[in-house]
Amino acid sequence: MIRGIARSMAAAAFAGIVLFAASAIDFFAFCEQHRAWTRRQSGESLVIRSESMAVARPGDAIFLCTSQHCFDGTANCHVDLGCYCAPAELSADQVAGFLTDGKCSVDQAFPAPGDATGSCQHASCDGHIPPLARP
Amino acid sequence: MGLVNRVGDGVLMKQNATLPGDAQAALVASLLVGGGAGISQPMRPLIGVPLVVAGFAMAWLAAVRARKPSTPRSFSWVYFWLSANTAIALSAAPLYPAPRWYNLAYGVHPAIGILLIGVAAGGGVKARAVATWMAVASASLLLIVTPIAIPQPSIDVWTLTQASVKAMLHGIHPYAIAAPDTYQGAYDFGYRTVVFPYMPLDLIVNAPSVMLFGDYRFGLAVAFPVTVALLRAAGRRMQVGNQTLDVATLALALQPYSAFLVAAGYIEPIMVAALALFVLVSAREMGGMASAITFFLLPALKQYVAAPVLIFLAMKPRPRAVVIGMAVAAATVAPFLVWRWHATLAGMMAIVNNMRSPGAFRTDSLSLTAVAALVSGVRVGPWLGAVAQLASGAIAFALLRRNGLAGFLVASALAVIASFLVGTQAFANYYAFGAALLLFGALSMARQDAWLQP
Repeated sequence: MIRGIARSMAAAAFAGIVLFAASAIDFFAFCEQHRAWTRRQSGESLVIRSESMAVARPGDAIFLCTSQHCFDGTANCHVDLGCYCAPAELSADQVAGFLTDGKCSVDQAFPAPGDATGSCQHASCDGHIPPLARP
Repeated sequence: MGLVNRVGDGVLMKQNATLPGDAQAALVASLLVGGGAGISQPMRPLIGVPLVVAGFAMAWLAAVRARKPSTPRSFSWVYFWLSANTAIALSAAPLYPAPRWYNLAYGVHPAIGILLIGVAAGGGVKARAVATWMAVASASLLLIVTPIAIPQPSIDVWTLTQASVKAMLHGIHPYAIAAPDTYQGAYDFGYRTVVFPYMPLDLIVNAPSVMLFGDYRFGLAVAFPVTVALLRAAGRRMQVGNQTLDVATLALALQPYSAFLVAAGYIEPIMVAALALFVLVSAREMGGMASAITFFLLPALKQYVAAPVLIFLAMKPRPRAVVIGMAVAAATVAPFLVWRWHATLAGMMAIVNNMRSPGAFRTDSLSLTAVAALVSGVRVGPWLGAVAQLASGAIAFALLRRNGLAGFLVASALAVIASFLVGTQAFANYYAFGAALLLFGALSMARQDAWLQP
């Protein structure tokens, strides 16, 4: 029985390692907001987000924010650049307060689906402030 | 783990417990699909989709193996994937805000599961039985407290179902009411769902829980122990070996997504219970009266069960049974049509109509098409999922048409999973049904395998 338990724990640990490795690959290679920051730094594109399932609610403004994003429980961090939908009455500093080491500015004061200028277009954003559960 | 088995020439020899090769492949396929379904964003493209695709491939292997004389296989890979699935469950947290005690329970259940799998794999018959029932008890407890811990999940499925069942209980047509947007405009799916978009039977089966407890999700939680009881009864009826039955029970109890399905209020736990009932009655007579009646409850519960209907009909059930089965399914819809036919049809067809909208493509889906959209920007139309379900179902039926109940279940799984993999949207709840079809397919393939086990 001890051998069975050891095997089960080893299999679970192996799966855990694979999940951790995949999570690291996702963080280092596919983090969408970090890629947006890289694009912006290299002057490749000023548009951060032009379509998304997350959109501005009535009364929301869209804030363009940089924040620090660290890999699960480690000191490996990078800078993210994202669009955040938040109530328009919040100041940029208040929105930044929801993010780690955040710095924000207003990108769309009155977002609309037809917006084709600015960094956060078509009323789309990476997430909401305060954060909402994803559907 | 060893068993004493009488071989042909009367010599007694000791060997490890095994199960038929096709059943082993179907069981592993079910666990792979279930594991993939348990992966949430942003890991779906990297881990979730490959696991589901591997499960789909294993299901085809099961179909191929089923055509040949059975070769006994060991349980090693089954136990490995059971443990891997519990690790997936352990890596996840509830998707909706919950109190600390629930977050703790959410992690403790799979953590205990890893130990219980070890006990089941390495212990004797008695230890395995104890481990199995402890896993069932732990899962039942977690599921039943889920609606208490998460009283108001922010998902439209729950809002729409709850509002429509309550309306029906108050004598208001459930398809004629518009539920408030639970996301308050925060998400745009390319369509808007304001009316109840599911089948009338969903409202009927959820009504008792709303009447008794105020929330239909308690019924979804209770569906789990009911499914376990039906699975074990079906297994006994098919003379499935104890170890196969215990492992199948563990697979149900340790699914990485089961608490999420209950929290979000998806109907699939009820569908899986209905499927278990179908398997139980079909184990006696596939295509008989009880078999047809219970089978037609599945398309009456969810619209995506399309190709399985054609496969069931192609397996030549008794015509009288088919007519009565269809009549029972129709009887779940008819009162709503008589009450207000236009609203009922509009609700039942809402998902089909929504999918026609050009923007109705979910890039957060657990599907190959979502990965393709992320990589290339190309988005397929809803037709591909429908074509894939019919094509995959037709090929699988051609392979498995002589395999009775097991053939029907695995062919149906191959049909629906194909459509989810290339459809415009597919999430954990969809694959939960596909994984269940494979699990019950494995059980049916293991029919009379008791001689391979202690």
